Amino acid sequence: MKSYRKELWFNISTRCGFVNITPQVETYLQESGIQEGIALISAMHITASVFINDDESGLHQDYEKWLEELAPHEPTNQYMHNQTGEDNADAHLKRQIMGREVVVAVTDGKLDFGPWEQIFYGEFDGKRRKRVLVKIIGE
Amino acid sequence: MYINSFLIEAKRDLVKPQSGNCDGLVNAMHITASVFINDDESGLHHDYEKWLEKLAPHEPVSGYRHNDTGEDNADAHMKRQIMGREVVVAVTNGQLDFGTWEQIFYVEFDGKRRKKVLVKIIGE
Repeated sequence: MKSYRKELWFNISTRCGFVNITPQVETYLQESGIQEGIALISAMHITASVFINDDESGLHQDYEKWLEELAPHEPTNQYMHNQTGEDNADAHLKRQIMGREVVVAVTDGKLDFGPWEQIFYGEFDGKRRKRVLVKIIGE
Repeated sequence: MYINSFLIEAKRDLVKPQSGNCDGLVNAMHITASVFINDDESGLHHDYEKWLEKLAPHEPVSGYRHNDTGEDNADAHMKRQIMGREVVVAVTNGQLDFGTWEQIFYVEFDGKRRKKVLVKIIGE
């Protein structure tokens, strides 16, 4: 069984943002030489997400607005976690809605997607270096 | 308090030293509980409880159609969908391939009975 591991690094200049990482994952899959298996793509930080959905900017704005309604950043003192000196409690909550990881089937050397599936990195506490793990196993 | 969370200690002896690379699946085997990864900070756990109760309140119990069946745990089904059913963790050189702060948690939303979590590791 083959195994391939790589990290993707980000430094998002805003607090929140979404990055389409499908092309990078496809490149890594090609590099791995794996034809049949599964690809795990996960955020290595607890205030960020990896999720699959539509590459449409209006939807991304909708996600940001909706997440902000469900888990508002302010007032920061509404969260007990922020008593530690952090101000990112909302980011921990937002990421639980959007998810930590995706597991994608690999078939015939390709990501086995429906027509509109794209992989995104979702940042909720940006402005610093952060990473995503790509781990592919199979044959 | 009907929500409890405790840390799952992913012990090294669950993964054989010679197994280099594999993936581990850790999932709740119940539909009113979650396994998720986040920060081991008690203030945050309090925030999660409060937030989940706001998004999917336990009461009034009659507010949920599911509870017409005689159950009272409809909120627990919803809370778990927000927090997630499972995590899939890469295992590299016999270790959980985590970022600095990642820790695995089991969280209960309908407790006071025996429940289980599955840990499945595949690879070599």
